[in-house]
Amino acid sequence: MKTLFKKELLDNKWVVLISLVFILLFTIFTASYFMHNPDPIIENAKLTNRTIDTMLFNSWYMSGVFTGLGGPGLIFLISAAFLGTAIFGKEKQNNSFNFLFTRPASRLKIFLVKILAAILAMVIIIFLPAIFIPIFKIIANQSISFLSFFIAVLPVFFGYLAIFSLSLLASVITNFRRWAIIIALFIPMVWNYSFIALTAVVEDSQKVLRFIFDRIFFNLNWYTDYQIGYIPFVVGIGIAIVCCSLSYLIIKKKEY
Amino acid sequence: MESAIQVIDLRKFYKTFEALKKITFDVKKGSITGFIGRNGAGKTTTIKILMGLLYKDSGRVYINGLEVEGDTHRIRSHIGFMPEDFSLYPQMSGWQILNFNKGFFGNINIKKIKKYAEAFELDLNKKISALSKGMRQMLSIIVAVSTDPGILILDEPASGLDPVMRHAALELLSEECSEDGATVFYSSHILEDVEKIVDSVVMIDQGNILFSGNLDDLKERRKKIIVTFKTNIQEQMLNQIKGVVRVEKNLNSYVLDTFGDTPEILNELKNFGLKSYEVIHLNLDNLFIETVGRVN
Repeated sequence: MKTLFKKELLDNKWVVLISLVFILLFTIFTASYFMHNPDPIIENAKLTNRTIDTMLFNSWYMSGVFTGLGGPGLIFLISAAFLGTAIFGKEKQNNSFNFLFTRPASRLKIFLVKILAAILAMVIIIFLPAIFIPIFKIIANQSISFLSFFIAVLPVFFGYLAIFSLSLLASVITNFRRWAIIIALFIPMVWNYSFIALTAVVEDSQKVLRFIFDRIFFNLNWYTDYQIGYIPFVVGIGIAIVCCSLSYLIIKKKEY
Repeated sequence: MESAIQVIDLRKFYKTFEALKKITFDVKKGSITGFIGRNGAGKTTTIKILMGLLYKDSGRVYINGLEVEGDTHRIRSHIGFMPEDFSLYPQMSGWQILNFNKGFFGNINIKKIKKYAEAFELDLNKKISALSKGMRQMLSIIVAVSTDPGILILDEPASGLDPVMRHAALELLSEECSEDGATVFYSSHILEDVEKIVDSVVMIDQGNILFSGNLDDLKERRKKIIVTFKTNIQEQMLNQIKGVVRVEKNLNSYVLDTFGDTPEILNELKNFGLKSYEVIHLNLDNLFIETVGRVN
């Protein structure tokens, strides 16, 4: 199965490279700004009771034209959709299911290896550029904490894991990669903005609504604002598990 | 002889259309068996069920004594498979796809690969996207045989090849069986090719098995006999002879389609005042057309 894993990594290389190039531009921009003047960040973190890691990651992640959906966030979204739809969409495009599924490996094993390779690509896309956080902290003479680093980055990772798995499911259902990408990009966007609009109208229920929907994917303040602890992890992983399981069942039952 | 592939009462529906109607046949170990039938007869459906790409509705399928039940991947480690609508990853080269395949099977026979590549005049360093359809088909055959499988299941392996390459492919497949003791089960429309290398045939039409067994036996049993009689004979009387399938009257003679023991049929004919006879041996092409025609 190593060869399949390697092949999948190589297949994903362009999505990873292109995403990293764009994200790096944002990272340079954000990091240079903070490094030029680190004090307000540290002050702000103390005032809002957030960690410097979360503060930095938030500012970096949200930098862009749309709140919560700009800058690296948009690139994460697009790359998650591309990676999710590529897993079986490319096999469909190449008409290679009857080759792959007649090798002596179970469909479950093939499915898991493909998913793992795509998740590794997502880890690289999301975690690698975030290395600027510890670098910044070293420059700003702050102590590095792996825990606060992961707490800052993981919610985004799990949010995009959910989008990735939605894309996977869409590609398995539709069989057409282009449609799957459109669906995968469209659903979270509609989801996000409709709930931003909804919470603006019904302010009292905002905690519940944003809690369940909006914040799962796009808002990183969950940890410090609401102290909701493990919920985004559970919801993100929950959506990912449900979508991946459904995708697997479809792949398993499907005839080729 | 032990069975490599055993299919018992296999049934498959596509919605309400019954593609396989309780078919039963047997492929002996070490044999080359041709799986022949018209378009839509059920050949690819059967092969896909053998490989776990399609799920059966009822019946049993055994490969090397192990039951094929959906995604039975362990059985596949002994099978070299080439699908009809084959497709390999276009971004890979020939060697890359062979090494990719090795990752699943654990080994590849480099010597054999080189022998096949040489026979097919195929450059394995070329990317698959740069290969013609015929060349890709040849590569697909190489991928199937590269792991020294005990069973080769090939769906129309030579349909896109030119006559020279087709000949080379058939020779190599024949060697595969005689030298390595592999079982070859392959479907084809080109009956002339099938006849050259097979020792058994499975004939399928409209989801029914018309014949399954040794090709020589079939040829021995299925013949045309042109007969003349000393006196006038009723066609109906000839039809009642055991082994006579169909009777056609020409000017002074009768053409009998027979399926059975020829000397016995001739003995019966003598009772009607047989004047002369000529036994015509059929080739696979004729046998197939006659058999399918008879059923239809």
